[in-house]
Amino acid sequence: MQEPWNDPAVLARKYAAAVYRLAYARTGSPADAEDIMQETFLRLMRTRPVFDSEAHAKAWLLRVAANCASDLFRRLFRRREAPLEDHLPAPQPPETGRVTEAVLALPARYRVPIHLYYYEDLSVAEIAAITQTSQGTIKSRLFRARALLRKKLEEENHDTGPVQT
Amino acid sequence: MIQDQYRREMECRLPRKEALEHLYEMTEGGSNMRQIRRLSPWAAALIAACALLTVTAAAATAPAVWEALTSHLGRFAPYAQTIQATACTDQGIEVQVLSALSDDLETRVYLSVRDTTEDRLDGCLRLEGRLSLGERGLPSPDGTPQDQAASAATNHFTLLSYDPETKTALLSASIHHGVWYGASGQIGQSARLTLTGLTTQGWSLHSSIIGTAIPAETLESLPAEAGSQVLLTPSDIIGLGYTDAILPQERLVLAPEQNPMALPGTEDMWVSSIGFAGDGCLHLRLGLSEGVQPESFFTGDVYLPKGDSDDRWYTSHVLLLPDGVDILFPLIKSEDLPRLSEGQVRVYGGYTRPGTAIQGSWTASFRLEHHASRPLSWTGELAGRQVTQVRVSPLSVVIYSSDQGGFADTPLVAVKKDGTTVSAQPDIGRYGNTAGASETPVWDTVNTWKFEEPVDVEDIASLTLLGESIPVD
Repeated sequence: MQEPWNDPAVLARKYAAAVYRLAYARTGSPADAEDIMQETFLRLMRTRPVFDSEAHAKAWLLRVAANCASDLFRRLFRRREAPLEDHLPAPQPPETGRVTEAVLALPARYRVPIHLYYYEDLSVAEIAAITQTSQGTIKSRLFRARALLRKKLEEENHDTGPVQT
Repeated sequence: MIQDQYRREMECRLPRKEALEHLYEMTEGGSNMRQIRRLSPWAAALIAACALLTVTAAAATAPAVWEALTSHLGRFAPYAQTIQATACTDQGIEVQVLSALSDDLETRVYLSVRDTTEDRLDGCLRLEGRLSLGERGLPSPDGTPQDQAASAATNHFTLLSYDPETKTALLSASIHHGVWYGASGQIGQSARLTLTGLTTQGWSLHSSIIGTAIPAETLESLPAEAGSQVLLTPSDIIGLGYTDAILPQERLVLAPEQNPMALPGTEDMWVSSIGFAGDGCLHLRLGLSEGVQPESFFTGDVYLPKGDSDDRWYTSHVLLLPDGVDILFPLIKSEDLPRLSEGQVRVYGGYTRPGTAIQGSWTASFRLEHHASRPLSWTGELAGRQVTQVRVSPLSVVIYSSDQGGFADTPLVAVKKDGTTVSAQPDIGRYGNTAGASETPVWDTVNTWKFEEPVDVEDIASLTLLGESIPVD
């Protein structure tokens, strides 16, 4: 009998939101995040990799979602012939929280690591595996991203005292 | 803390309902959706003219399929419901709903498909259509009122067996409804099977070769023929972070038929050669039966049961040759042979094949008998989590709690009144913070476990999870 973590329907029900949130954190666009979510699961359907565990399946989905998000940025970059990577204005729908806004305002290369660290609660090693980056680079990006977040939030809210990261 | 605030804000971020429904439709339909596009344009007109015949179940079903079903169900057979739905036949293909195994968590329906006139089916049968549960408006075969409960559906059917003597296939369709469609027990009892087509023109392969089949000596190699089609490269969507720079400079493939062997689970392709080529890398060359064509992303990897998550085991380059497929593992060298002998070389992916594609109409409506779960009177703290409800059925356990992780990876044990135990393995679940953007997260978690063999709830004395006990009254 097929394990639940090898059933795309089960994975979609369970991890679609996680994939969407990672894509949103990377792109700042709900529409792009939905496209990336669909693309990620389409790739799952096409390749049908056999996972050893649910953790393996989740890591695969997050990795493909991160790649799809990067691909989307590359396509946008080519199409618009303008640097978007670090200068795309973060959309600010009314319901976006202040911390989310601050994350979306980070340079693009920091957003996926900080999302995986803060939201998915992954270790540096796990984030490095998903983003295909060295652990040293991830540590450096997390350190820098947290410093930028702290600075931005303190600037916005200096009356409330120090901000814990 | 920023992390808590970020989590609360992100919990409010969800895709639109329509996008999720589209995604679920795609994943539950699987590759069947792709098959529909391959049907010839005249098929629909031809099928529209065909009559739908109905015969009784008892007259039509081959005994062999019941034997296959009983074998598949094993110890769960006494807990399965025999469905008295009539069989329906269109274009000589008879479809009959046979049985269901259902509780508040999951419903699994078993059906047979038999060719009554020709020999058009085989072990690569796929169905196109839908199994629906509890939909408003579904006709009730026995005239009882329509369901007003939650509905659920799937269009993914799994082939369990095919008997060429009786030309009969046994399939199942499964719906997990307990977690996704509200509190347990609310799923409707009316069900409908609606099939619109079937095909044997494509299949999704999952096969493996044991590592001990790989010889130590270097096998004969040939230059890759010009024009061979690349189906997958290391830089493709598997997303392992490698580029084509890791590929050997000279593109070699194994010469064919050096150590041929069957590929388990299929007769459409076979292992033509497996071993180390002149480039020093592991290769697998597959032979293809006439008309068989692998699709994009057909690939392979090396599975090591003792654990090694190094991405190099999963990295491959796939070439479609005029008479086969060569799968190159560019980072697996002869010094890896001792590890390889402990594992398996796996092959997976979709492919097209000669076969039958028929569109038609087969429908059956029936009522399900759920094994209702019993809510336990116990609630309280378990291993540091607040448990608000525990439901137990002969097939499964559902726990509603504040778990933030841990339950999902831990087997549960039912201790019976006679002192024996039955294990239950973790199944799907749902984690969610219902507090949204408020200060304190409120976790609304549903975890489920499936028993390895059925157990009457009356026989259970307690449940054990994470070393703590839940009394079963």
